[in-house]
Amino acid sequence: MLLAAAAGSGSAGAAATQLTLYSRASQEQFLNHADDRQRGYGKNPFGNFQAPTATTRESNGGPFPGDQALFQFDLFSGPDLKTVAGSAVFLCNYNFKHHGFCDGIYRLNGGSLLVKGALDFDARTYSLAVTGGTGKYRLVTGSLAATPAAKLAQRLAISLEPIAARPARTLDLNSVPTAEQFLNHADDRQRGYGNNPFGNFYQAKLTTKEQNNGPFPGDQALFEFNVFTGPDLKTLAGTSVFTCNYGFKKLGFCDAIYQLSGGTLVAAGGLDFNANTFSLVVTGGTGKYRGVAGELTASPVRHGSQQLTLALVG
Amino acid sequence: MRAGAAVGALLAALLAPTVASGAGQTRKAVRLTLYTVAQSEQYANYSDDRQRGYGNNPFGNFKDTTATIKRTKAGPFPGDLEYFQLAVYRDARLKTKVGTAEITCQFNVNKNAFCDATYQLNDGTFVAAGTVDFKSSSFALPVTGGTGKYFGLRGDLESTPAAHRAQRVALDLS
Repeated sequence: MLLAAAAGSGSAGAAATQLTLYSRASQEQFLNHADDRQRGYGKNPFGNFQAPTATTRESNGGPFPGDQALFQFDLFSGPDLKTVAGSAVFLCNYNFKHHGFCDGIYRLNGGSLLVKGALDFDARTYSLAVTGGTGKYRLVTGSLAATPAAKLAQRLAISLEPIAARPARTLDLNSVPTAEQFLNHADDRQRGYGNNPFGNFYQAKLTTKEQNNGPFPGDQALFEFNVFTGPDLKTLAGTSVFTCNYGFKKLGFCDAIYQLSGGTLVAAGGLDFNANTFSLVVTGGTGKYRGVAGELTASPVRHGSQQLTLALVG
Repeated sequence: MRAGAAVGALLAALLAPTVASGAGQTRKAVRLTLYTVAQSEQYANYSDDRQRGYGNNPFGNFKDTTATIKRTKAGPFPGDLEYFQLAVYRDARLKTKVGTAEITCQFNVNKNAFCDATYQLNDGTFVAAGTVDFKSSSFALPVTGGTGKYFGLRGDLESTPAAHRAQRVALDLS
């Protein structure tokens, strides 16, 4: 792993730090949603746009809009791929023309980094935005550029920049789940499909043994919560919704939104669904939480509720 | 992981003084108005995939005992997905195209969705994520990061209806 300071190279004027890793795909799960596609449904805030023509010709090559893929990676510190530096998971939702929107989490020693952005699956390179991190990577932002390397690996050039110091605050809340929806995508799983910019990795063997206990890669779950100001669960502060996509080994990637009085907080990150605690990266907000960053940690208390501690800056 | 730990410590050491010294730095604010027009759409109906809770979770192992949907009501329902591709213009007359945008939305309850959006412009990319009420004609999303001109910036965007079935997108980044 090469690390060098590149002082002042960031466009925002702050000192930047360069981190170089090498990743190689180790597992893949494709979800074919051919049976789930249909034309526009319901209203939308994009001019109530309804596509007049089919977006797919299923006789042509996919992946098609709505399909999904999960990729697991081993991370190495050097191009010889000998020293393991961590692991990563990407959840990609395909949209149009073999493009996808991917959420990624890099689990490194001492912390994790979140990345997000669009990928062209017919390309061999990609760039993503680093939206935050946990642990030693807490309160960073930046970008990631991936280029092909030897042994079907990708060289990852990660530019990190500390979020400018702003007033810090802590928010203590409690949440209680009120609704859940599980999506069993057993009928959608299939082996790798189409090109990808991860060395065109193709998983030759099954990732699931469906007679074992799930959830399995590609399954999804939605959770809705009431959020309270204190552990007595008497004063409602708002609501929250988690959208979770299961990856490998019951680890999930969740997007969370907290709709509170005066604004909204957005968080994302990995969850171990066999644990009873979790932490997420706070990536932004609206209203009085506009521009905030930080970390949310959750631990169980009583009555099935979780105590939430949000360490925020901005 | 020993090498990773050493590098992590070095990274922490490099970042720590930068965070401290960043207290006095001011970021260049970007205020930008764009116009988007939807070009493509794909809806994914997951009605055959919905089932009750399955497996453990870190939310008190919560299990929902009632159905979250009433099929007599109109969807979209929790779990459904919808994808949009948009053309991005600099001007309200939609003459000068400056990029494209892709929005991936997954519905939860009450026709609200969690959307991931990426705007790929000529001078860089920025990503936004948050909730969108599909019963509304406008929305606001936090901007969580970017590349190129938008590297290291965050803030929000507000999308409101404009002429020619477009949306006016006001960006406020710092």
